[in-house]
Amino acid sequence: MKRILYIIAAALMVISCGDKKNGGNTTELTLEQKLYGEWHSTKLAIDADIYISFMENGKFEMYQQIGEGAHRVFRGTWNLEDDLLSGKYNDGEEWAAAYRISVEDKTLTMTSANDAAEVSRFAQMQIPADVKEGSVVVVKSEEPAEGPVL
Amino acid sequence: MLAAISAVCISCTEGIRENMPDVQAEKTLAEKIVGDMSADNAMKGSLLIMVDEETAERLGNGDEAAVADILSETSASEVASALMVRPKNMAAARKYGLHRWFSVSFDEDIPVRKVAEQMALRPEVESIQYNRLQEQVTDGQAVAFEAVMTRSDAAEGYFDDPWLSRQWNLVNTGDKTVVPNAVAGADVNVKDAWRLTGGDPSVVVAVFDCAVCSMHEDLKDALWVNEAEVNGTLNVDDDGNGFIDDKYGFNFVGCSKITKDYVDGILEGGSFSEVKGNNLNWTAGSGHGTHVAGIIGATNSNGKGVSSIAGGTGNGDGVRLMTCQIFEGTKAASDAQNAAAFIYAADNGACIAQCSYGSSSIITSDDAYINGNEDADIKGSPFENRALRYFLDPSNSNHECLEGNIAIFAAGNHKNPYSSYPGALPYVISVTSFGADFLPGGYTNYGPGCKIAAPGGEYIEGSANETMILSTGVSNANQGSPAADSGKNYQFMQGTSMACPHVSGVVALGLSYAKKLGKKFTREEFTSMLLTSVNDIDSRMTGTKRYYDLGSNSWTDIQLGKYKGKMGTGAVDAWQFLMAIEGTPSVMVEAGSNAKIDLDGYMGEGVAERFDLVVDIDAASRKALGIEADPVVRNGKLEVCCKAVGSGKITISSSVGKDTGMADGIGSMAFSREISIVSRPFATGNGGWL
Repeated sequence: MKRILYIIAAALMVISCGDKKNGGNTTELTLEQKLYGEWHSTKLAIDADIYISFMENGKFEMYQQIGEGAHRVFRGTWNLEDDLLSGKYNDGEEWAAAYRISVEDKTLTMTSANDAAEVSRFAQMQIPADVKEGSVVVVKSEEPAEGPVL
Repeated sequence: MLAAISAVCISCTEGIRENMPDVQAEKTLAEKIVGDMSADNAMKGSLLIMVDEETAERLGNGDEAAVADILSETSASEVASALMVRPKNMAAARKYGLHRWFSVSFDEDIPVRKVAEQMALRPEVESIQYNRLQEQVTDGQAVAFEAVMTRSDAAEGYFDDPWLSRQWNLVNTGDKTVVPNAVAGADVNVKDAWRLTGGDPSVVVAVFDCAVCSMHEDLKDALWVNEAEVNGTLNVDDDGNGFIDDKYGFNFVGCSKITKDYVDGILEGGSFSEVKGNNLNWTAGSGHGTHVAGIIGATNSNGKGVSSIAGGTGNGDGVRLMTCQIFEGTKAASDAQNAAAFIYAADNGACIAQCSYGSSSIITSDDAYINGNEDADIKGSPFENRALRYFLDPSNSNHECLEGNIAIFAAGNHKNPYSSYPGALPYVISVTSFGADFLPGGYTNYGPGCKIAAPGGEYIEGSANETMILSTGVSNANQGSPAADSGKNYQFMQGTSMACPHVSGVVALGLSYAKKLGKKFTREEFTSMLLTSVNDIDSRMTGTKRYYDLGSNSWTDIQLGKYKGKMGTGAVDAWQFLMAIEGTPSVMVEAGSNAKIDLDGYMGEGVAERFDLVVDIDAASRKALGIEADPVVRNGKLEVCCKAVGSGKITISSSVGKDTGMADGIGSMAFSREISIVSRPFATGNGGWL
């Protein structure tokens, strides 16, 4: 009898887990929560390679390579109202545009609020260590770039 | 069997044109003389001549009649190839006419000018050159460094070399307790560059100077080593390069010319004799070469002595230093011996020639130096200049990342408003000097011919020696150091001689980084990046500064305005240089608006405001970016209006070193940078994508 109760309890637990996985109300992620994490560009309007980390504390870190040279680091803060993402660099400059965003299947889509034709896509991906270590800080208010201490 | 011509001695006193009118001889000589017109500093009993092709071939084949002809009616007794060894790259040697140059010998009691006039009358002799002795760019002052290491000295460095904190030339924090006249940033800005690279053993720097001390604790692991000779037999040319026992380089001072076996028909196919020279002698003189070498490549992070620009990261990864000894105490190499040193450097793997020497003669035009149009034809060019061109030639490239090699010279310490030659030549770098106060050293040459500035230090009466440059040294009576022959000697020196190796070190560091990135450049591309990777120095050129003249032992007030725009493109910056090598990122502009792109990041701080910049854009880029009005440069900013969304490239060109006062004066070195532009519907001012 005791053994049967264990089986029933285990079965109920499986059902419960299944509910969560299927998007029950208690586990639905907000758009903001979906935005948290590190992203790598897969489609851009210009020839560039960009990694962005949106952190839960409202800060972002962007490693961009446009043209030649190492990735350049830009840091600042971001803000999301509904699906409109905006932000400011640490040097005080506002982003050039705000973006309408959506996150589906680990893909972040950013559509410029200034120009709907400019649509960029990012895939979830951890920023490689060599990108971080080899990067160069260009925003003057930033701390020195990280790197090996010789 | 052809006879060896150079040993042939011809009695020709009977035929000497004793009665030739001096005026005719002088006129003919004036037409044929090349290089420095003055015989004052010429080697006695020796003269260099360039003969026509036919005569060169006959002499090369050991034609006794040709020997007799050329010596007839002159006081000369012997003729031999001016080349000491057979160059490895004969095609390049012939390209620069080196095979047509011969040295003639005569009794040292006979005035050199007299024999020159006699030779000038020989129809087969096309050019004549006094075999001058080289001049070191130094005031001969060396001050021994005998400080006791303190804890703070060892702790503050990026490497664990104890004296790094005293090397303001590498890291100048503006700390006046270390250097009384220190200004933060008056250095080569190398500390961040060391995060990217500390050097690479594939980069070999030939030091044209006194010998580099091979037993010095901070240099012995940084030397270029000829393994075959080190592991070979004494007094034997183990590697067959023509030089005996050249373990770490060669002493060209006083080494003998080829005296036999010049029988290979214009140098083709035959063999040269081995050149017997003296062993490297670093104890003669002030240790100038050892000091210079330490700035470039003293071993970093070995817990000993000083740090250097390209001395590695403590893992045996620094650049390598080859000695081309052209000074030995008070003795100096002749032009012919110096030419041999350039050929040796090219043929044995050096990609950078570090040359802290130059002529003190008043030469103020390329024409006066080379007496010919160097770009179109090297006819008339002096012998050592041809050897320099041989070293620079792309066919003699000695580093996988560079097409050609690079030569860097000191501008000179004569306070002249122009660079000394050979540094003033348009295809080499001439380096001016500034002190820890970021102001010109009172001794430095400046103006036409000068390409870039670097730390050279400046002695200040009554002050600590730290205002000069600290580097490796040798011990001798001149310094009064107690550390004689210990290999642990360090000393202070000042001068453009010290500024020059800073640029050599930065170039060496740049090549090391290019290798790490797998990039390759032409010499012109590389020097363009070097000359545009600079910090502003001109904005400081106002008012006066006090300069202590070691020559007169007195203070002088010098007007700084005279240096404005004349120290080269600016102060060399290792970090900017590595960033340029890495690649310049595209700049984003907003389509439809008039963008103003700050050129500091492309042409160096201050450069954009000092030089006449030429803006060039090709038709494809113009179309892609929708540019209608020509871009212009105003106040150091490139103004461009891109009406289309797209990308393209704009090239900014300039030059440095031009003598604007003389149309045919000292030539300029051209440089350019390419700016890649991306035009978007919107853009930020800081270049961020978001």
